[in-house]
Amino acid sequence: MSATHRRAAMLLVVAWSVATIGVSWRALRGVDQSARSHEALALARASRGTVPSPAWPAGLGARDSVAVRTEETPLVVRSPTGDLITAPVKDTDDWDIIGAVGLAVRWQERAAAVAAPGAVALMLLMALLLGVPRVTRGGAGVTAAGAAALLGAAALATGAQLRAAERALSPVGLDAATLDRVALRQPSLDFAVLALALVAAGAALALGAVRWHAGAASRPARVRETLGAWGFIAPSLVHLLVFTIAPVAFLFWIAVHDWDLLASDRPFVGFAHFREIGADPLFWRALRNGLVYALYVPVTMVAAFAAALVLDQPLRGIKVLRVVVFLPYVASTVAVALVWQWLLHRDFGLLNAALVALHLPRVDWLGNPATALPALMLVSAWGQLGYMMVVYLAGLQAIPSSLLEAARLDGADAWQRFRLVIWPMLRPVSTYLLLTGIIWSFHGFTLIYVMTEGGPAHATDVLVYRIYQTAWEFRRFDVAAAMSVVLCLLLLALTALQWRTVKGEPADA
Amino acid sequence: MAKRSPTVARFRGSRLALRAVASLALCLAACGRRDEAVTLRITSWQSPEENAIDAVEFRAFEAAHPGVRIVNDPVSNSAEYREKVLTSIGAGSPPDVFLLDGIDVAAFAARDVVLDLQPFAERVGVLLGLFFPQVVEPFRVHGKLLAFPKGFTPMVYYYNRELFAKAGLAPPRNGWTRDEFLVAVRALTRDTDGDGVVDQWGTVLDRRLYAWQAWIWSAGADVLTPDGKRATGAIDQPAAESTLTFLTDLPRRGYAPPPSAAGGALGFEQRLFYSGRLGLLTSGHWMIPRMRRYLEQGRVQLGVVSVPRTHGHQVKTPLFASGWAVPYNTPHRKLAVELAAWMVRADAQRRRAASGLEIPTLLTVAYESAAKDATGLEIDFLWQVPYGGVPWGARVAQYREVEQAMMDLVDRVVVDRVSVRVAAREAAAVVDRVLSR
Repeated sequence: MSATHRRAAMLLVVAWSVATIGVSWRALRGVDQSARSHEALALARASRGTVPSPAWPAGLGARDSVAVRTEETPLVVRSPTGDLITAPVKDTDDWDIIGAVGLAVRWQERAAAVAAPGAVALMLLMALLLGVPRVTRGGAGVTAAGAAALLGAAALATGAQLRAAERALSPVGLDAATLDRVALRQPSLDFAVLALALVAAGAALALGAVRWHAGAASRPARVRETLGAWGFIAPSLVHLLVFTIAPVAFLFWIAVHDWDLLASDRPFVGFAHFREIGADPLFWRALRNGLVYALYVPVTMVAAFAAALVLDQPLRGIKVLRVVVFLPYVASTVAVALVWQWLLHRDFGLLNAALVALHLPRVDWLGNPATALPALMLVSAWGQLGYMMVVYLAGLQAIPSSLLEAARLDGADAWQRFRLVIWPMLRPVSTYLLLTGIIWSFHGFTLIYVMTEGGPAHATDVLVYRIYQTAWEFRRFDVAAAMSVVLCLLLLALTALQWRTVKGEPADA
Repeated sequence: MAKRSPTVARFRGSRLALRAVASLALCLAACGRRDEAVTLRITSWQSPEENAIDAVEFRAFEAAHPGVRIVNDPVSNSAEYREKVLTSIGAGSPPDVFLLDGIDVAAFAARDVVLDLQPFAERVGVLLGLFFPQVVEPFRVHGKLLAFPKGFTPMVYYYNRELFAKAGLAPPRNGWTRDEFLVAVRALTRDTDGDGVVDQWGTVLDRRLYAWQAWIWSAGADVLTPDGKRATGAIDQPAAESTLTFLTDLPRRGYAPPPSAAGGALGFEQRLFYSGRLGLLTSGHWMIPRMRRYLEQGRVQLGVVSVPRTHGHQVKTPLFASGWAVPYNTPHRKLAVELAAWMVRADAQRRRAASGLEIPTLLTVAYESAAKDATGLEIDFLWQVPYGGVPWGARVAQYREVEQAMMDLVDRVVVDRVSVRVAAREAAAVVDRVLSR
């Protein structure tokens, strides 16, 4: 490792350490304030209706500026000698604030209690800083141990701080007049704890990186590559865990509990919700509709393939035509739905105007259960055609011309070239489009929400729309979660099928 | 390119590190700073036009309460609105004041998430005796008052005066009957261009419960039993069945176009009405702002009349009201209640009434507004109020499911061609199951 790298690593550690100390200090105050806040609120509730007798602790300075009195919220008065955490006391009707009660914490006593663990933390920090150059040179394990010790010392200091605060407490009463003379602020706990956690995690990562970097030379290439790869995917992995895996796990939990958004009691009910949806004919209807709706995917694929064959020709203006075909795919789904709602309208629709011009009877496309779902499938196909066409086009253009040339030399006619060369070469593309298309078709919501609301007579009710309605209109989140679990398992099965199919494809395909 | 000396590189490296530390320190300092003002958050499903009217009230409230700032956070889609309010209350960060739809009262009351405003009403200047009692009632649950009502509408029929005159019909009068309605729609339904296809209809059939609830009530029937626990014994009774048969026969007999699948998302029915191709349209006061200008210019000639009653029964229409509510866990209880009260005081209601959005809930403001009304429609709206009833949504927590089952009932008859008796019994069974949970 070069001297520049060593210096950069050391500066990094110093920066993180300084930040850790600063934020730790804020966090300690926050944790302490939070604990005091709960006590102060309990004290205030117990004192409801009784004007507290003023007992202003010595050393806490009253100020003239007055914040608007905030109800039901603990507030803090800060002074150079300590914090005063207060909670408003209301009259017996729970309406007017008649004073405040609080708990004061004196800094002198707190500082004495923190001194010993603070000194240990400081020494550890120094040891760590001194150890960094060694670490970066030789790969000793001092860095990780030092980081752990630093965090441990911070935890010790927190405990000591809280214990000191317990000893240093003194109850305080403020009447309305006194309360009006002090400036109150809300405690800032959440930010401090979050920042501490982030800084600690960042410090640990930085130190880990230094250590890993220091030992890089002596590590086998395979291990280096593996670690490097994990490093690259780590951000995505964290995102996936937090925003996908955790919500899915929570979904499974909700599905087996009697879960209401606002209820505190959420008992375990096992498979009761699954039994309920199993007995609900509308659930099965939605599932069946979803399966029928998915049929638009293979139909669109055929149309897209045909379009790709046409648009693969070196014709004049072909690029413009490709854009036109692709355009619906990038258009807003809501806008598309609204336009199609007009086009398909029984009285004002363009489609029916054409039918009337041909002396054919009008069709209530969206109002008739026999035509509503096919009409939605038509709109979906129109929207997806461009995307599938582009994928097929890419597939067509990736077929080596030598293969087609060889087939031609062997006497293959156009149909034989298509059947024996083009189609087999495009099979992986088709498999991909078919399976991802079907998976996406089960997510179809916007068109149905805007165009038919699942009607008429549930003819276009699909699973995702049923889940939405059950959760957000009927407020039955637990039953909706059970439906979502079924949908999730269905899609998992389809994904597994896709994987198997893709793995089974020839490597050169 | 000149090679950088080791000294310069070292200096630059140190400077970078110092910058990083300083930036972090600044960030920490900035994050620690807090605003001294109290911020009240208010939310509703109102349109931008309504929010513009309310903004005037917000500024006035801020001026009267130094140190208070109001942030309006509206959601235009009502389904997403409920989702947002419930989620924020559940997450412990509720809006301080929110607009509660009368048909959601029972659902919110069942979860006990709304503050009882009754004990505070007089202190904040809300004298409930000055409000229409019929619109305060939906917000009362077990002696608690869950919102200060701000505006309401009954369900009525709008009729096109010109079409009535062309058909040789006298304008309908409040309290008219089902038979008179049938005569009117029959006369109004016409093939105006002689191509053999009807292009002007008497009326429309809206599948949604709120649109036909008044018909059932005005026939002496109901959707649910009086205790709100069953539909069997109510919607499947002869009076209700007869009314449903009458209504679902309208498109079958050609007096109404087939009902829209998507609940009129694009407003096709309104367009038919505006373009003079529809004689009667059931709706609420919310249609007024869109056509007020044309009414005042005389470009559209409309009237408002009660939903027809069955002979021998009295008119009864649901009064759909909304009111400002306060979540139980707002951190600014007093200020929030004061703001909710501020939004229903006479000045605020006058301002809203001037835009034609709704009927004011204060009697004096409502009559004052009707007296000033140049269109002549307001007085007909007020005629309905004594015949107003509390919608089931204010009493039944699972109202949305009841609503869906009733819409399915109409679909079963109109779309699936099932008899009203069978469809009503199916719907009643579904609702019974829902209400027994």
